Amino acid sequence: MQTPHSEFNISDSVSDIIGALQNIIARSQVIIPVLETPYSRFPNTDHSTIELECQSVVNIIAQHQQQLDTVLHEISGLEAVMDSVKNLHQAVLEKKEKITQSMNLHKGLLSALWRLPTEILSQIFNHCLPENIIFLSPLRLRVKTPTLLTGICRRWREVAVGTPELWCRLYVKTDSRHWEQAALHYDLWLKCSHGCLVASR
Amino acid sequence: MVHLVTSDNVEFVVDKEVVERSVLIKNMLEDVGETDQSIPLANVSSAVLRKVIEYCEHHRGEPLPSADADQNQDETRKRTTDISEWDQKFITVDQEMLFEIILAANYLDIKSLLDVGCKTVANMIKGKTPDEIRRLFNIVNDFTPEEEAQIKKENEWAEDR
Repeated sequence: MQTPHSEFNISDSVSDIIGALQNIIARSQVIIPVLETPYSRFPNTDHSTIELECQSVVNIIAQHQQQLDTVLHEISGLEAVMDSVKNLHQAVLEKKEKITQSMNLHKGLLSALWRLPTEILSQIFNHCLPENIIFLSPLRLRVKTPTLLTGICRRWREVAVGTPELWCRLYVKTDSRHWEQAALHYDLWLKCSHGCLVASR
Repeated sequence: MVHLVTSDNVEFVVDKEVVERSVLIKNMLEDVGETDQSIPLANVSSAVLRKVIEYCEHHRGEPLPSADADQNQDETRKRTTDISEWDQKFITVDQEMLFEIILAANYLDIKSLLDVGCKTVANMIKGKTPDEIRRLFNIVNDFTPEEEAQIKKENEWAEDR
């Protein structure tokens, strides 16, 4: 775990990088070299003259090659810097995500949700049940209410398991391939119903 | 007119007919009779009471639901998504306010408002995965690895068939 001091240093260095980059970029400008030559204006005319001054053209090409090498070097340098900046950006985004998660966790602790009495939470859970009995079919819903409600946190599990009305409708599907799991599921369901009359299909 | 004082010491003067949608206040008024004295509502802040009064004003004069109106659980479920347009708009508030309204409705014994609040939270839960529900309500998964394994075992059959 990072200490507050080291976190401060990281933030500090990111701020330094941002400041320095902004400063440098504000002062930077790409100067395009003079590319005009006696031959560039009329490239398709009077080739006999050019042939005479062949060496001069070769020198221009060599000069341009040098310029091109320099600019390619600059491009690859900038790309490397941009990759580093992207990585830094990703690390800062992850840091933001962690701070947000921790903040939400602490907000959650203060939430009025935890002050809802058990009977109100039961009432909410009851409203979560599918409206039509057929939707209790394991075939229709990925994770079924009320089973879903038992897997959120300990309090919700206690309330859901302690609310027999949530478990008073059961869709029974005979499937010999998974009879052991099905038996466990139905057994838990009936236990949760606490003797409440269970309608089954 | 009835004088109500909230937990943050703000006084509201409300029509008796409006405020009597709260069974708690209705019973109080019946017990003490006509009085100019303020009724302290230690559990309700002014921001929440303002919303509660807005709800009661809108539903002024409507018959109060009877105590056993929602005994039939199946009927309750059928009405789950059945929130009137005005109520839906009214209850479109941030999550904390929603829970505070539910708590106030429970404390003040305003059954129809409590129902709207509970249905709204239920509708937020419906169709979501456990992770989505935890994220939505900032709930920490506080199960031990053993409990987690047990839950997984319980849910496996329900999930995949």
